[in-house]
Amino acid sequence: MKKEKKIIENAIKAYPLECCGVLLGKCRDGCQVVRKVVPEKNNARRNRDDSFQIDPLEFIRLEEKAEKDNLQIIGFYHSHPDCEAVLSKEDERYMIPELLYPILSVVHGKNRKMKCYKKLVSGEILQEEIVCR
Amino acid sequence: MQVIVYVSATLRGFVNRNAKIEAEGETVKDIITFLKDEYPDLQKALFEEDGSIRPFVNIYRNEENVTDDERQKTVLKEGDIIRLLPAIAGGAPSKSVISDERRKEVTLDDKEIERFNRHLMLREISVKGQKRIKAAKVVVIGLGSLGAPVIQYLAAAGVGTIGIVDFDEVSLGNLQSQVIHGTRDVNRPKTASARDKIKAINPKIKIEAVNEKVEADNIEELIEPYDIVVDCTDNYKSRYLISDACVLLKKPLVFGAIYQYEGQVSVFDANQGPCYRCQFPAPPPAGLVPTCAEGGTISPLGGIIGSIQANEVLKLIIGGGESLTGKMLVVDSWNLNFSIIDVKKNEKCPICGKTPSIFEVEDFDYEDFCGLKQEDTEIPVEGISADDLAERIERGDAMTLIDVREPHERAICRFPNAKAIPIGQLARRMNELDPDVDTIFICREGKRSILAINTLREAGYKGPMYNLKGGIESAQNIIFSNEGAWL
Repeated sequence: MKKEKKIIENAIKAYPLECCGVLLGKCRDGCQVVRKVVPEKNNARRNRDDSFQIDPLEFIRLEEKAEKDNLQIIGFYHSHPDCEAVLSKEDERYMIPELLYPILSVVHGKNRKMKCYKKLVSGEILQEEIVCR
Repeated sequence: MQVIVYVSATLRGFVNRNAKIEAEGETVKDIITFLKDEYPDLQKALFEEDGSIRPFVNIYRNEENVTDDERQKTVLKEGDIIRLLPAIAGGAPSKSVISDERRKEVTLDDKEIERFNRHLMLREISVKGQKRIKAAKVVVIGLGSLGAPVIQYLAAAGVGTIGIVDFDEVSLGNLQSQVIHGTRDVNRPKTASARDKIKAINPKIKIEAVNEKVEADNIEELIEPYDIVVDCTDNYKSRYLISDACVLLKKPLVFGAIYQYEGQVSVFDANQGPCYRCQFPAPPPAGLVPTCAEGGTISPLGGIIGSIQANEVLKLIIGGGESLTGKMLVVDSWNLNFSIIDVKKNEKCPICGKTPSIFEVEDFDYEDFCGLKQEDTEIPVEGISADDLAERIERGDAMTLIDVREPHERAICRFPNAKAIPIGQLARRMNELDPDVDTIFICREGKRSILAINTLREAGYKGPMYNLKGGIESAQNIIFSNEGAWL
């Protein structure tokens, strides 16, 4: 719950812009477990109220740190200000297979809903529950 | 040349979990080809069928992004590090009914920038929104009290293509609330008058005028080319027909209705909410709810409701704000009360529910549904024309005339020698009628008088009854030889 709260706080703080961040954790018995939530800067060049981007070079540093902490990157979250927690075409295009993609809907500054998605290698998209520990 | 390729942990699943790969090549493209050959899983997951790299992958040479085709030609140098990184990006879904592709095809010239300046300076609209408005195609069905403000504001806002549909001509009584028509337009087709007004606001708007009634055999063809349909009609048959066609053709429908002092606005988009039938599964019995022509309307009401309809259309085009999808705004302009009620999708709706039974508008009998047909088993209501009635009055035939209008209607114009019994009192005042003579029922247009006759039949009255066809409206030009007869 604490980790979900961290995502929600990040989203509300960033409103009316989109927030984004990384989920770090472990894969155990085919199940991805979130151990740490790391908010990141929204590096989109324009329209940060309806798009987000994490700087790839910043991403390299993030990944190196995660490896040092013996954690894996298991997903990326972002928010949709005043919009539904559904995958947009843009969101789908950028999904890496097998990683978790929570999306938060933040309407008028309040968290409305969080839904999590995963794309399989086949391209099929599933809705998942987030498991935190 | 040999270079080291670092693979992000997020993508290592496709390279047998290798974090670091030694690769051979002179250019970045060579390295990619090498990796594809070595790791078929990588090819499948990270590249499209045409060989192009999928959007979620970035290739970096040191700190430079070399993902695109041109940059892949970069010649490598000693010590270069190649990285395979995920592109972490995305965006909120566009809520506009106008796609980005269509928006990008539109340009705004200097005059348009000046004309729409007040839109461009709004953060939620700005240039992108105005381009969507210009690209949009909206059809307005009904050019009366509601259609008037709708087309005025859509034209003023810069909607690129406006379809206008109405079969009727302008009459004097329309001018009280249908503010796009003027005195000079009386007896002109409403489409002609509306076209002139749109042209006067903005001559660059493309207008498609249809001077026809909407029926099951023309509705789909009529609405197909448009992005949004606006219902500004005044009868139940049209409403159900338009709503059903919009559900079947997946067009969002902006609905508006007015009656006396009250109005309603909603957005029906069956793709993501209820349709008109979900909220109103069946119409009221024919004749019970009069049109504005019979029931009256306060002058600005159409303007209030129609302006809100136009606002909802623009929000659908821009893709912003809170839409009235799944909600209905109810306005009481007399007591000045505005409320928003929820409209739930009916899972059993015959047209937009889980197991629909209506698949084509032409298969559905709208006339029967709205009680506009008389059942074969029903005894038909006999009518008498105004001329025939005038003859009978001149001859002095024995008969009872019953005026079923309300007191304030009778104050406008009285019918000679008629007894006033409002519809609601008929059943209990049945004994005031004489079953041995003809009883002729009179109302404004000849619709309520039919209801009156049916009401009395159900109450058990057996005497002969006639309806004045066309009501008082049709009797207006008749001159009696005895002036006292008319007074």
